[in-house]
Amino acid sequence: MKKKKTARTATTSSPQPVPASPAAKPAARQTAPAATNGFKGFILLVTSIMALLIFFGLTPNKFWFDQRIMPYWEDFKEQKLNLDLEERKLARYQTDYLFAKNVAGFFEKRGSADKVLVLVPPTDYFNAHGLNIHVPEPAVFYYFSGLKTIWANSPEASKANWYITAKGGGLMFDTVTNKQALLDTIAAFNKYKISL
Amino acid sequence: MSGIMIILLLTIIQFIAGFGLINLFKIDLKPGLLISLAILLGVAVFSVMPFILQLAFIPLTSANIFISIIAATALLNIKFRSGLARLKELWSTTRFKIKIYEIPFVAMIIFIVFVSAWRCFYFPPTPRDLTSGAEVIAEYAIREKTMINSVFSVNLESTNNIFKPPYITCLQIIYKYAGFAFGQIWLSTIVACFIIFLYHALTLTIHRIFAGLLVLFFMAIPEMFAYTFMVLFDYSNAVFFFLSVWFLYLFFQNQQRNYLSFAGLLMAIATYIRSETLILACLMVPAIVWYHWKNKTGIVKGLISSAFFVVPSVLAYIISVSIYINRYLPVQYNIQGQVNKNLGDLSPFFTRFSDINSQLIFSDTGVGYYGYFIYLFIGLLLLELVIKRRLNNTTRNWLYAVLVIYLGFPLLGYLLPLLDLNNSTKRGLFKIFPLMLLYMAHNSLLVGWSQRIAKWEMK
Repeated sequence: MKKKKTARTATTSSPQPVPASPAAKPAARQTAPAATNGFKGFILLVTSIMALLIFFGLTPNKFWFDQRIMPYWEDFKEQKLNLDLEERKLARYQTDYLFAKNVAGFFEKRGSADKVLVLVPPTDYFNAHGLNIHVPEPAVFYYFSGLKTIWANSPEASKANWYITAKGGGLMFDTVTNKQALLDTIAAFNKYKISL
Repeated sequence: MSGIMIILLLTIIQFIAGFGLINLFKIDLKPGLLISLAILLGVAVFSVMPFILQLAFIPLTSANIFISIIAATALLNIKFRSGLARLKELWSTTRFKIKIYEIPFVAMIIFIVFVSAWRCFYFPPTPRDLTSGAEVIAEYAIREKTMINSVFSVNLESTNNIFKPPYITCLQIIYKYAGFAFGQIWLSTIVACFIIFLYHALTLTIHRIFAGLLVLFFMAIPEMFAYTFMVLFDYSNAVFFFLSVWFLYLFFQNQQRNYLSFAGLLMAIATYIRSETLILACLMVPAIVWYHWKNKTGIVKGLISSAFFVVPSVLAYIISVSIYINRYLPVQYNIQGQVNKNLGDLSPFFTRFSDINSQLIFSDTGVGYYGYFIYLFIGLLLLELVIKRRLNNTTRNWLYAVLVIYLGFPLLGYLLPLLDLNNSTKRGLFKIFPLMLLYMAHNSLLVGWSQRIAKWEMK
């Protein structure tokens, strides 16, 4: 009889879902956890496994498991052997990160990385000039590299003291010595749409 | 110290902080619910401490932050005698016993959580919302010892992500100081504890096989799963919104005002994470007033209870948005400018409502985003309506909460046009899933079947 009572604590006593109390029972009222008959437990185990198989047989669940969970598990087996932070960043941010680091590297070599404000073109500008470079927005650029950049459509763009253009299939870094050249570059960049 | 030991240590501190809070509010819970909730609350306590230091202009050094966390943990355990007694009682009554048929589900859930946690640890923060907002601010806060740092001197016209409440920034700072270069792993703590909480919450009413299956359905929501390892605001927001509603409904059952206050606190945390949650909190008010009206305790009491529930969220909004974003940040952000100027025109509400249904829910894209979870919910609801032809109070309550999100997001889209469909709304809908799950756990058919299985099991 006691076992029966205990079993009901797992659910409620009426078919209507009267909510069970989530409160802890006082120690004195504790009863032994409901014991399940071994054979019935086995039947429920088989039911669980069947339910699991049916669950992962449903197309979206199967797709999710095959396309996400298992590849991630395979990734884990390789990733646990390679914990280098820079490689992890590169794996995630890819060319955006590489581009930002390379540009910052140019200024770091000159010892001026923390003094410059670099006007960068939109991605579309590079694409139009045959360069497959995605330019991160200034906040992300700063996160990747510590270098301050600015878009051409900013009212502050004319405060840039360096700018990057495409030339001969590569990048051209120019310091601002001629204000008019900077304004012309801003105008040229503004012909392209900025994409994030 | 290895990463695992650090996580363990942080989790223990989070548990102690959260347990102190639970003890202060005199919340009585079963061990599985209590332990997971305590850790979740501890993460929330962590997320507030660097923010408090920032508000007081105290430098965000590692020493200051960890001392403040320890101090807060001690303060929250000011009633440590009663807390210790409860812990002892908890320890003596706790029996971690797993039934053999739970093993397949539990093993699968652990595997999926592990895969997510590893990815969360391994990769740096990914979403643009983070790398152009909370993450870049956290990164420079470590270097400059303040959240109001050189990031705000960068060209920020392409992003408003720097104007989000500092929940993620604070946690990122703490975990980076703790030795995790990419921070983030706090999200896995939230995910694991939330799953544990949900599982135990479901087993209160339905059989463990159903509970395991439903939790698995919940975990396999593809879009939501992606945000168990990609840090953003929405998963955490959904967790604390759900917890708040759960404790509100506990208050409806036990009528103890401390549970209502606790629900208010949890909603305040949800609002601190995503400020627009304040509107959803207000949409829960009719349920509170209705409860009091129905129980003949008076509308006035209903309004007082509503205040208990909503005022903490209003305060969280004032501190994290009105004060911090408007008064502390060096760059101006016109929040009023984000609000729809033409409120007389209701067409954006209906357009958004229609788009949510046609694009996010009832479409192939919707299945890609959310799997069959919504269909499962609808199927069970229809079955209950057709077979039982009535809904009891608890199921009605959970359905109301589902409705709050279902109608709340079109409302938010109408009020805040920047809240787009394919990003903000898509992720905002995460809040609906735990609510649907709890409806399913109270579905009279599932409850009835659960009881039959339990009876057969014990014969």
